[in-house]
This record gives sequence, C-alpha cells and structure tokens, in this order.
Amino acid sequence: MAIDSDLELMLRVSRGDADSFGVLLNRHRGPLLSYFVRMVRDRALAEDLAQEAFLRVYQARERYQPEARFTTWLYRIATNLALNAIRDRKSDPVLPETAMAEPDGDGSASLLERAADGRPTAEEQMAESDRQRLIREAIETLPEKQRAAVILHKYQDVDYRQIASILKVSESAVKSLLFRAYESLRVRLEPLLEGGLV
Amino acid sequence: MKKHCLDREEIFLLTQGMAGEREAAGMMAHVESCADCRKVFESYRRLDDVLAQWNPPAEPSPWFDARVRTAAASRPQARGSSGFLGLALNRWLALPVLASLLVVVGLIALRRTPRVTPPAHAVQSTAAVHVPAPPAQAVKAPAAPQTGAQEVNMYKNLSVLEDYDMLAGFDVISELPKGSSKVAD
Repeated sequence: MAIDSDLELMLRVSRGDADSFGVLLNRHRGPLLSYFVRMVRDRALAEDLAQEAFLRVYQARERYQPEARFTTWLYRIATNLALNAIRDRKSDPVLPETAMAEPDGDGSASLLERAADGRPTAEEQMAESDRQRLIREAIETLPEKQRAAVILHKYQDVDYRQIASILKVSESAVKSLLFRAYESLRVRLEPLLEGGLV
Repeated sequence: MKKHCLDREEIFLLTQGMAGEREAAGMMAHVESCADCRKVFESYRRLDDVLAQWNPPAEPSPWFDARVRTAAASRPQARGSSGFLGLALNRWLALPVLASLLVVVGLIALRRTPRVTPPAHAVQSTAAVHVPAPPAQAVKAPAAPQTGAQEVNMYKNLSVLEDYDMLAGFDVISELPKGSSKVAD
C-alpha cells in the first residue's frame, strides 16, 4: 500500500476526512514533541504545546494551501508557540527556568540494578547526565532564533531552505544564524570537544 | 581546487551540506589537501557528534491523541488568519471594513475641525454676502439684498474681491466666469 504524502493527507483533512488527520498526528507527534522538549525543556509544557500545534493545524484545515511542505507549516506554528512560551516563562517570576528541568534519566530502575544488569554504572550515568546537561545548557544560552535554527537543523532534520521559511528569514540569514550558533556552541562545549567528558 | 584557505564560515557550510553545489567539490578538495582547513573542518564534525548525543526523552503520553481529538471537537474552526478588534472577520472582508472605518473617522474629524473665520475687515465688507452656515455669533448681517444684481453692485469694487479664491465659495462670486477676479459692471 502506497504511503500517502503529508500534503495529500492534509488536503483530505481540509475536505473533512478525520482519519487522515489521525495519520498525520501519528506520523508527526513524536518529532514535534521532541522539538518542543528541546525548545522549552519542560516535558509537560512541551506536550501541551504539541497538542496545541496539532489543534491549530486542525482548526486551520479549510484554509490550508499546499504552497509549501506540510512540515514547514507545522514547524512554523510550532516555532511560534515555542518562542511565545519561552518569552512567557522569562516574564513569569513564579516559574523560574531551573524549576522546569527535565529529568536526566527515565527513573525506571535504580542505579544498582542497572550496574548489576550490565547496563551503565552509576558513574557512567553521571557522566552521561553531565554531558546531556552541558549540551542542553549550551543550546539554551543561544538567542531564540539561533536556538530554533540549530534544533530544526540538527535534531529535526529540517532543510535550511525550510528553516528560512519557518523563521521567515532569508536562506543566507539561516546560514549565518547557524554559523554564529555553532561558533558559540564550540566555545561552550570545549570540555566535551577536548574529550574531557566524551 | 581552491588555492587560498577557506574562511571558517565556508568550512562550516561545507560540513553542514549548505555550501553551493558548484563550489563544494573544489572546497572539499582544498580541505583534504590543507592541514589548517582540515583541522577546522574536523572540529565542526566533532561538534556535530557531541550535539548528536543530546537525546532528551520525548515519548508522547498515551492520552496525547485523545486530548487533541477532544480539543478539536470542542473548539470551533478558526475563520480567517486573525481577528480584527476581536471580530473573527474573513481576511477578504477585513480590508474594505478597515477602509470604511477610516472614511468615517476622517469625516468625523473634518466636521470637528473649526472653520476659518475671515479677517475682521473682510467680515465687515462681506457681511451681506450669503455665506453658507455661518457661526451664530460671527457677524450680525443686515437684511439680505433682494436680487443678485444688487449684491453684485454692492461689492464690485471692494478690495477684498481681489482675492477671488477666498470668496469663490460664496454664492454670488462663484457665479462669475472662471479666471475673472473683478466683477463686471
């Protein structure tokens, strides 16, 4: 059975086919949630934002114009939501960013159980946790657009031309955003690049 | 192959597959032959490898789909890209409505603008001329002449009539032929 393209599915959704919306939801919820988790860090907020993004897609279904890729449209909605959430959080003194840190592990087994099971030891887990934290903090210190560009490019596998459309900037501006972001990350992640924690 | 060393941004774009298709082959050949450029190239590759290690857990909760579907069913479909002053207007209606509002606001502003009262000597001289809707307290005019000919005779040689443009709006003067600043006998 041929796999329907996002565009075909979305056109069907715009004609009232709810099942096609289910297929799109199933196909994109994982990547979209991962985008939000990296953008806003807080897991619960990320899930709320991902749901809101799909909801907005559904609400705007009749206005959908297949001019760009579906994912460009989806990530444009998602990026606007994420950047607004980041700004809201910055202006909300009740919710400091440090209070929303994601858990470093999945919490399903104790450190001793893992060690006995041949899985990572406590030390290895701590090193891994430190590595994750360093990368996360380095990316979080980037300006908003650089952060979005890096996450879309590096983790969501979005083409830089699409990123330009999502962020509403030129393609050369995306290249420049990414270069400046990588230069900052290179400095901040020096310990990992030198092999200190790798 | 490029003879000169590449700048950092060029090397970065090369590592990310964002260099121009035509230039990429020459740039890559240079990187392979130049130790300095290769070092920079490899540092970006290492940075990419390090960044790839950031994998926060991001599994959707089991009720994710159900929540989206419930919310979709409960919220009405969006109409237009955005509301205007809280109204959900169709995008094609928004422009005409905005234009009409501007016209109305402009008319209101015009009505509220105070009228320019002519200088005192002009007011005295033209007191008998019929001016549309004068301010109530502006000038107490004597009884209006009976005919247009009488009015013309009254004012034909007054200096104020030199300013034809100013008085063009007055009923009697506006009957004169265009370009004539003096009243003919």
